[in-house]
Amino acid sequence: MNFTGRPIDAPKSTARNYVYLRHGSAQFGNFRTLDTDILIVDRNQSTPFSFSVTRYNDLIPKSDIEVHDTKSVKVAMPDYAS
Amino acid sequence: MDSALGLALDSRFAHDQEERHGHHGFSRFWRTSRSLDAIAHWPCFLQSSARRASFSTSSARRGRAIEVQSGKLLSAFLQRDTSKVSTAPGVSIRLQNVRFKWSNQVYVDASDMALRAEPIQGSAVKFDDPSSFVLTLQQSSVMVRPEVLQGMMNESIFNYPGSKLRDLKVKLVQEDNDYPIEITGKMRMGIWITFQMLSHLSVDQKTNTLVMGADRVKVLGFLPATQMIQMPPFHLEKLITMPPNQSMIVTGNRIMVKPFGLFPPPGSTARSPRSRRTPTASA
Repeated sequence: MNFTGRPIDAPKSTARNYVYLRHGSAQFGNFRTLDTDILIVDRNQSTPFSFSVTRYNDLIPKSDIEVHDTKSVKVAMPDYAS
Repeated sequence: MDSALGLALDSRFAHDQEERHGHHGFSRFWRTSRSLDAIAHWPCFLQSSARRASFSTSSARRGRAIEVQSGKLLSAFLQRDTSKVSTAPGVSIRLQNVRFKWSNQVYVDASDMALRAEPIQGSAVKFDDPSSFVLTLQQSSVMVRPEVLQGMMNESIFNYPGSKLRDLKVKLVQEDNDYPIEITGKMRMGIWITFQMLSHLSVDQKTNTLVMGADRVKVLGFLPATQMIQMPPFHLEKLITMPPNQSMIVTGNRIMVKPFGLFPPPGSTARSPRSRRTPTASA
């Protein structure tokens, strides 16, 4: 399938496999971000990143979360295995 | 529907990739541009109606009437898609080399995919409450295999109370150099009867819908029904009930599905009131 539209720019990262959230307000549990800038990278870059939109939060405890400043977050997440 | 303008699907393309790379080879393939060659462009049915109308005055009148009626229908159809989304800007999402999963049966393999999550109410996208936002697909190339399309049909497209289709199975078949899909399953026509439909998938660019045409139909395993469904009382639109979320419309013998209708609500592993036997995907 091919969908067309205007995408956001790719993140400044060397990661090959990722989910990048940008702009707007996003809420994750009790956390809310403004002008969201969250990069979720695949911990295993050698295979495609399996990401569950419904179960992402199950993997948060198993992820490494880096907050280098107050504007952006980087999460290294393992693949989702159903 | 904003900038989610075009949707195309080519089953031959998916078949080729499955043959070449198996389930996890998509990332290698996405670096090529063959997907662009595979885009199918079908004229929308409004144009088809207008073309037929030139044959005679009476048919011209009828054609205009059909066009007006179709236009109204489509406007209403598309209006419902956008009216429930708030005016908040939403969160842009970009995925690279990701298997983006809704469920075990429904997922897309995306080499470079852009989405936007838009809250239905309020200003923030609540990712822990997937029913509170919708995903708008933007620029993307995604691969959908037959078993995933089967999952989409069983879990999402035809999964609603009162649906008259169930137990659907999808496979690619080869006809010369062509790869239509074969859909088998059960249809409720008073009682549940088995059917088999050969269909080409295409895109209606104007409505941004995935179109499934009924090329050939058999019922009960042996009875040809292609001619029968050409008769107005037996058009698919008379046989198939519409889903309450307006994700699908049937015009004549064409089933048109909006992109969001392909995917089940993220927070739900919804089943119709009658339990369905959805085969497990091999992936």
